[in-house]
Amino acid sequence: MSRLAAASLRTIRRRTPRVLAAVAVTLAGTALGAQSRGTMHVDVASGMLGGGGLASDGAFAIAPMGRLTLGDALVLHGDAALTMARSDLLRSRGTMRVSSARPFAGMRPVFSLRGAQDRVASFGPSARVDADVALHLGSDRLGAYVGAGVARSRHMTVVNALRTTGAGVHAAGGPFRVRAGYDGNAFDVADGTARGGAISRVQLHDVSVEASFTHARLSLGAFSGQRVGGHTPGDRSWGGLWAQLPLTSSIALTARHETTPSDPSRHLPSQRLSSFGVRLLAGEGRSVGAAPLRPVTAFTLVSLDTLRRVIRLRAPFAREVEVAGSFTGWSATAMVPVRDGWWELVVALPVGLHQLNWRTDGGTWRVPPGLEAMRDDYDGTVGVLVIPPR
Amino acid sequence: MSDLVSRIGGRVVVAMLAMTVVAAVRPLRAQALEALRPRLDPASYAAVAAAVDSAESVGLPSAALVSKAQEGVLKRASGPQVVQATRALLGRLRTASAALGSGANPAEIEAAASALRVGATPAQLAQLRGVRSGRNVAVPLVVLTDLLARGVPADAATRALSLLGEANATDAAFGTLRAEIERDIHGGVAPAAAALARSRAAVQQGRP
Repeated sequence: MSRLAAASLRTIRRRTPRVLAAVAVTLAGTALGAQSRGTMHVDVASGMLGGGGLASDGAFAIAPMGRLTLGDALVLHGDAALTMARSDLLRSRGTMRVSSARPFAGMRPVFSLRGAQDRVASFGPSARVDADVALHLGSDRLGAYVGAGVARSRHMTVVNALRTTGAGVHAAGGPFRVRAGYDGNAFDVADGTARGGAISRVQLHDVSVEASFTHARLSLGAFSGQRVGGHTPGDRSWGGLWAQLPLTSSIALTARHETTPSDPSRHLPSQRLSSFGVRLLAGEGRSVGAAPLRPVTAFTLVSLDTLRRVIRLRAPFAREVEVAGSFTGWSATAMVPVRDGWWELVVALPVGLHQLNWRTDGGTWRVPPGLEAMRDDYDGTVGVLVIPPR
Repeated sequence: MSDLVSRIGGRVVVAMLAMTVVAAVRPLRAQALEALRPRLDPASYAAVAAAVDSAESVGLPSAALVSKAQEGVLKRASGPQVVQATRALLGRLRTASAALGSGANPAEIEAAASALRVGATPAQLAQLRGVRSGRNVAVPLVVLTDLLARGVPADAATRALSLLGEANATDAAFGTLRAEIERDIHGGVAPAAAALARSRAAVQQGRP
């Protein structure tokens, strides 16, 4: 590590906020769709995240996002975030991700392009652009991924492209989810103090684990990571806690406290961040215009016999889907993911009228798509499902 | 003589079976009610239990009340909200029972209470009961609720179902009518027009 870099690092450590708190508000989120040629559909989701600071560093954040789904084949996802803090830190991040909505031979490829720039007035810009490809295998219940890519850092002491590797596994059972991952970074650094510009190789190996739990509507999560190898600014370990509590179908409270990993390729140290936010979310797959639209979400019912029926709900972007109704004693019952974003549950439904709601990812109870709604006596609505006699 | 003994024996068996079902269902209902105790404040639980007792004392289906309270607990409604919703449903069950007259079974009363929730009037329930006198009206009432939820005006829905009822339609015919109306509404036909046209066509075709 050069003296110049070490001095710069000390400067950043002094200047970088130690505690950052923000209120984040998703100002708008809409989902639009259009259908053509019967099987092709396009869903567009967009949103805006903004907020105002609460803590001593007085942060302000704004973050637009967008998602475009082309049929069942491709999902294009983009998001960006711009954070400004009183302590002269300006941070901007952006991600563009292209993934397959449908697995091919059990694998789902994902290509992502990420860019990050942090500017500290006394130090100047510090940017990095990543491009990587990953293959996801398995299902939402149990899966793994491997990936590799390259990154380019604008920091002057990094002389060539970074090589990145990644791998991980995830599993979900009932209300629990766990994930473990590995990320590797390798790059060459020019030692400015050496005559002739000696170059040294830096190799970093990061391992991380994350666990989350959802009960009733409250979701809680914890994560931790450890770095092995190479010189790294700041601590070698990081971690944090987060919580999300939906208040209504479109409003959720979020809280997060974390220590972020440092980025030696840009000489950025780890940071300790706290945030408290309110998120406003919109419905999924809303129809617009006069044309019949294929919604992102869908509901079907298949009779197995005179009593047993398969409830099927489509929620391609959900991590968890639950249904509750008069036939479950109004207890939340987890649905099982099958394929192409569909979730299933076999229930006993005799001929007659049944009332039910569903929710995704512990959110608010909603009327299943396509079912008629009636008021539920609790300032909400409930879906009406009629099983007709044969 | 042997035929008479056989018939009496059959009725005894049916009665015993019915008593067994009732005996089996009641503990289940009691268990479901008891499960609400730790999830409601004492005063709200007592009020819900009182509503259930009140329903049972007059022969109304209490399971619907327990289900309504369970729904409120799931949706994180406050205790007073749960009590209010349960009492409101008890009121609808009473109204429905009165409109259908004596002899209405629990399924009919529950279906009629649902129809009241989406805009039917006691007079319309009584009208449906009248045209199917002596026959089970649970399915027509379920279809009525569904049609009202789909935006069919209560008058038009009742008239459409009464037409079928007067023609001695089967339960399956009511189910078919519902599916046809649903299809028409999705196709852009006005709900009232769809209901009346489809019911007249069914009667004219002698489908019941």
